[in-house]
Amino acid sequence: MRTIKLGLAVLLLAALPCVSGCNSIGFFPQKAAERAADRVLDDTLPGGSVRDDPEKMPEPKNP
Amino acid sequence: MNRRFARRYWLRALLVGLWLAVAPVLAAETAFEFNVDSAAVMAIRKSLAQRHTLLKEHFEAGVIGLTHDGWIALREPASVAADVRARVELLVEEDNKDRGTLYRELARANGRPDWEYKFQSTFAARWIDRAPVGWYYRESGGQWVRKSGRDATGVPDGASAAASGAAPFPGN
Repeated sequence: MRTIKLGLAVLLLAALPCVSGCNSIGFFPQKAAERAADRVLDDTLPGGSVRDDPEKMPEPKNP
Repeated sequence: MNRRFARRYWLRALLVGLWLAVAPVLAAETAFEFNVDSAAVMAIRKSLAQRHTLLKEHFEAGVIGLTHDGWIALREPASVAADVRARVELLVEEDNKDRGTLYRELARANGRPDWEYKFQSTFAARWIDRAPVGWYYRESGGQWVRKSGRDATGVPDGASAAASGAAPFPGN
């Protein structure tokens, strides 16, 4: 019984830092990083890419 | 108190405790946004966007491509005319310099300089995943792959290809 109580207390304490920001405890927010990458990528690929339309696939020139 | 009742009570309490521990993590991950608008980062974004107008035709022609570790590179340097090669090489060098600064400044702007390589690996995967069909990317083994129409169906093989290779980033 005491072990369970202790376990619960540890879990709750562990969760508290996450409320103020996961990066403060060393957890890398992967999804947020992907969204950040997309925002930067939108600068160079405005409106997305041609990947949604295979018809637009350009033929590569053989250099 | 009935022992069976007590066991059930503590099981429920444990589940609630687990949820209370996990929910904020999930919420924070969903709501959290990195700062990509600092002055330094914005300057690099602008520089990358401007240069992209010059690089785009070379990406489309297959002269250059993305790499699995977040850079760009000449695909077959020897087969490009010397004058074109010199010009493209300079653009590639400048672009890679900007990309390196971008990863570093992103990490710094978000208070975690040690996350530079995590940003780099994430950006590398996203860049490949979102690259248009027909563009080339280089896998960790050094092999160049042309993005095919199959990628356009939503299979993020670009990202998975980048992620499946040997970890090229120190600290990952």
